[in-house]
Amino acid sequence: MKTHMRLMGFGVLPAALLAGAPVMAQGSVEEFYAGKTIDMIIGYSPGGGYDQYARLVARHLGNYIPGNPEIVPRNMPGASSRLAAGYIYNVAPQDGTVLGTADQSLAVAQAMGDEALELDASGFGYIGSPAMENNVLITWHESGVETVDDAKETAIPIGATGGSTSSQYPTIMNELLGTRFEIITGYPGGNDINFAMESGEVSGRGSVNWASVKPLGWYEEGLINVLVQIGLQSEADLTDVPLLYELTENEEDEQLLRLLSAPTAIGRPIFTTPNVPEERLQALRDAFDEMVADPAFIEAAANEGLGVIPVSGEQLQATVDEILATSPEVAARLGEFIVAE
Amino acid sequence: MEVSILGAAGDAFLTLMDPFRLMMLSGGVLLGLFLGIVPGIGGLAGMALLLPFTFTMDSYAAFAMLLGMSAVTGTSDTIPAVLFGVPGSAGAQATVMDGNPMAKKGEAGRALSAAYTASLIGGLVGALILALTIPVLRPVMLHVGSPELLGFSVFGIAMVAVLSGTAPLRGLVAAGLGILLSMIGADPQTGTLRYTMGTFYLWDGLPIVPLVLGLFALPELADLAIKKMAITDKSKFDVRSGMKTGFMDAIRNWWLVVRGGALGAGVGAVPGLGSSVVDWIAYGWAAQSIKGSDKTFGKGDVRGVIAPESANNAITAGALVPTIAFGVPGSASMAILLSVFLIHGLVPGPEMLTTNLSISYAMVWSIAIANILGAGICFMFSGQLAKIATLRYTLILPAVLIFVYVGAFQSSRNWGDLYALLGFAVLGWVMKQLKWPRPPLMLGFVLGALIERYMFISTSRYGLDWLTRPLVVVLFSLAALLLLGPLYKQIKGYGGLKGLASYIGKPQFRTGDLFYIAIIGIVGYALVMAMSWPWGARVGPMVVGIAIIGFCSVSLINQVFSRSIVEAREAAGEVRQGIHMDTVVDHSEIGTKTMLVRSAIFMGYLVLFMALMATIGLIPTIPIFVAAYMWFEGREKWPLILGQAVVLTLVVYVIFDQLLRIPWPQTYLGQWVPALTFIPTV
Repeated sequence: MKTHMRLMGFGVLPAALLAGAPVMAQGSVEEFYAGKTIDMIIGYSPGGGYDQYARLVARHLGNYIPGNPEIVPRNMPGASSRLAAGYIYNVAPQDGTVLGTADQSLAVAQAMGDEALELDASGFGYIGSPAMENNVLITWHESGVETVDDAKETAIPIGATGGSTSSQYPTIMNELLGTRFEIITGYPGGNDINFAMESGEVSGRGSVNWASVKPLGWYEEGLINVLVQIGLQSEADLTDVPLLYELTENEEDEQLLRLLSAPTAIGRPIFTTPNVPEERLQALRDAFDEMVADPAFIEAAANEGLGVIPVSGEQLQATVDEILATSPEVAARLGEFIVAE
Repeated sequence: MEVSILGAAGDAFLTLMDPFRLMMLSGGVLLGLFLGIVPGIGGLAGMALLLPFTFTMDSYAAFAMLLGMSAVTGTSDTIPAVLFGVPGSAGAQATVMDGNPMAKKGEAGRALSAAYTASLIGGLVGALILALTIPVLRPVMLHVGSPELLGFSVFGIAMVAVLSGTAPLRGLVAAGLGILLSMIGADPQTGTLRYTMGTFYLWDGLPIVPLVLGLFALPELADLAIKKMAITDKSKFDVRSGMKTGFMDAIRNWWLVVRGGALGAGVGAVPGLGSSVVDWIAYGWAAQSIKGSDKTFGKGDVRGVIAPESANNAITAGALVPTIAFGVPGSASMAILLSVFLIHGLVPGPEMLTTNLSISYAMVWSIAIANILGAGICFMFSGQLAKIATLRYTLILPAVLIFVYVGAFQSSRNWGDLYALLGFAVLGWVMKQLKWPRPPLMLGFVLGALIERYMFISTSRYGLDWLTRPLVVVLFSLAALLLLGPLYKQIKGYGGLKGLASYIGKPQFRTGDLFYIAIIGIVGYALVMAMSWPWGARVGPMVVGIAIIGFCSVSLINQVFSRSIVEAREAAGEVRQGIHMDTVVDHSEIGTKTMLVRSAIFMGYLVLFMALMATIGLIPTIPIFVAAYMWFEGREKWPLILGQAVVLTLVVYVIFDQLLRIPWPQTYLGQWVPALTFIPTV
């Protein structure tokens, strides 16, 4: 598996150089996809963020692929999308007729040595992500905690769902930065935590996707404080909020926090199976890049309330490889925090 | 204030009267009725199906279509429940209890008509309650925190006492098993994977659809196959007069209908509760409060149909409450509806009750109109539908079986669904034969997980202070009354403790007692597995497991020692009244041996279906299975066989492959001969 993975990595560059030029390859790709149906395997139930983006891509991407195949979204929820990821990696035909979307943190789980993961995240053929959004840790305006420094002084209850970033972020901040969050885990979902904040049961939420909290208007109305954003670069409208990994002086801690923050850079990844013929993978990537640049696509996304901040397939592949190249000590240390919670 | 609310409600009505919006509403209603009839798929699948169409509509039309669809699945899911004993969705489980016996008595038309009327009025009551409470929703709801949600769940589970009927100890064991089953998957505290048996399938917990269909649908079908008869051989009422009687039944019991609707709206508003328990709670409430119900319930009492049906149609209105007021989706379908809010730039919360009030009221109107339309359409067709109950079982069984299988499979699109379906079918059938009440298991399954979750949140947030919150005190007291009342009545029925003691006789063992031993063994094993987990993941299963073993042992001892005396007294003509909380099945006329042989054959067909599906894929399986069953079991004529095989195959192909876009599992045939994968599902 390791050698195969390396082959994939090297394959990217020559193919990228050739992109656009090879009319022959173009022709055979078109021949292959003409009249075909591509399955888009969605690792979640209908209605969530991953599902919405994947369905949006499924509706449009076919128009940009040579041969214009129809793309059919199929939900295969289970085990926070690992069921679907395992299916795409191990079972699905590897001819470029299966696309899919799954959890952005699969690569980090793999870096931490998650034994239940039956795949190598670098083996997927990454097509691109239509969005890349940071997570944020928020507090309610009545909590009395407006900054990370306040959180080191005042202990406040923070709502979280078990085994997710909403409990991981505050736990690790308590351990590494000395904040005093009292983490209340067990809420069934993010909306329930929002309600618990409004009713005063908790004073904050351990993690929320910035794109999903923005439309509520709470930030402009001053109902919430954004203490920290988790990602590798700042959100355009949150430039004055610190990034999590910048909050430490210690280099080891910074590496750990960067690893924790890396999944947000993967966004809502769309990928295909391993071993897809290079010309088809390239055609899919080109189609994706063309699609996300098309104003028609951006408008369609906006009609559904979705923002488009595209990440190319090559970029995704590079980020995944970078995550997997993290030193085992750092990854193991992060693993301890996450499992020990 | 009043004027503006009335104004908003009036505006909303006029806005909705636009022809396009009405058309979308009707379209939603038709789809909802259809999804309600097919077992296993319901409002959730409908939401997912319709969602993409709403992107281009205005928000009024979008909500009209989605709510129209979800409001009426509870109207039509009665049809298979009454006719075949197979709940069309989780909300019709309790309808089977009296609805199916009515069909067996030849009163299918009356049962259906009473159910539609109850559904209609219940749905309207739900909409009315929503309309009246919209102005005060937010301030009231802000007082409902995790401790109160815990209180509601505990109150709901106390209903187990009523739903266990004459077998309270067995009911407690069944409820405990349900709770233990609900703890499968990643636990809400530590994320520990509990009882997942090394498969991803169980990570997010056991899905409810295979559980409901296995526990309630397949055992009824099995008994139909074992008896080898039509569902009914009589038609006591001619259908038209039966329908009139049913309508009058619902009107005469108007108070039962109204309070059922109110209960449905209330239960729907509590996040996590929903249609899979509301029918049982309504049924239990009716059984407890109606005088003389212990003599008639479970044997075809129309009131046992009216109560759950009036409640399950009010669910949609209730579930809208937390969704509109706070953006907290009360159910999976509401989570999809919530995404529609955001797509249309609507923010759940105060704005929905002020600037966007007319949209909120349009939702209320959509639900009300959908209920009227849905019940009307069902009335038009129930005359024809009622005749299905007189058809031979070889015509009905293959079709219903296939829908049960595919319905279960679409819940998580995994082979695990089918294994779970088969496993729970065996469990449900054994429980039914041995007279163990099945409803408590469902209640435990839905409420157990909630109780564990909110118990942890309440304690970690408030320590023990939450126990003194007023609503918590009220709910806990009500729960205690509900639990202890029937217990007291039972003991009194036996003549107090002294009377109980007189039931101790010579120990007597039966084969059925092995079921107790099996439960104790399995739960014991579950306890051992739990011991190595972190405290937060361990404490729930340990407490429940120990309680099950305790109740199970007491019940076993009670059975073994009282058996000789009970039977002697029954032989002497002393009869104790009580509801056996299940449809009664009597195989005495065919003898135990024939019964077991036929059960084995039926099981063989179930396994055959799965083996075929694994080998050649679902779509090719259907015609082969239908033909095999109809020919070998009924020697039906070939034109009839071929007709049914072709129609069923096409229907399944269109619904499940083309509309629901289910990802089918790999088949052996597809692996051996990849060229054949152009055939759907191979």
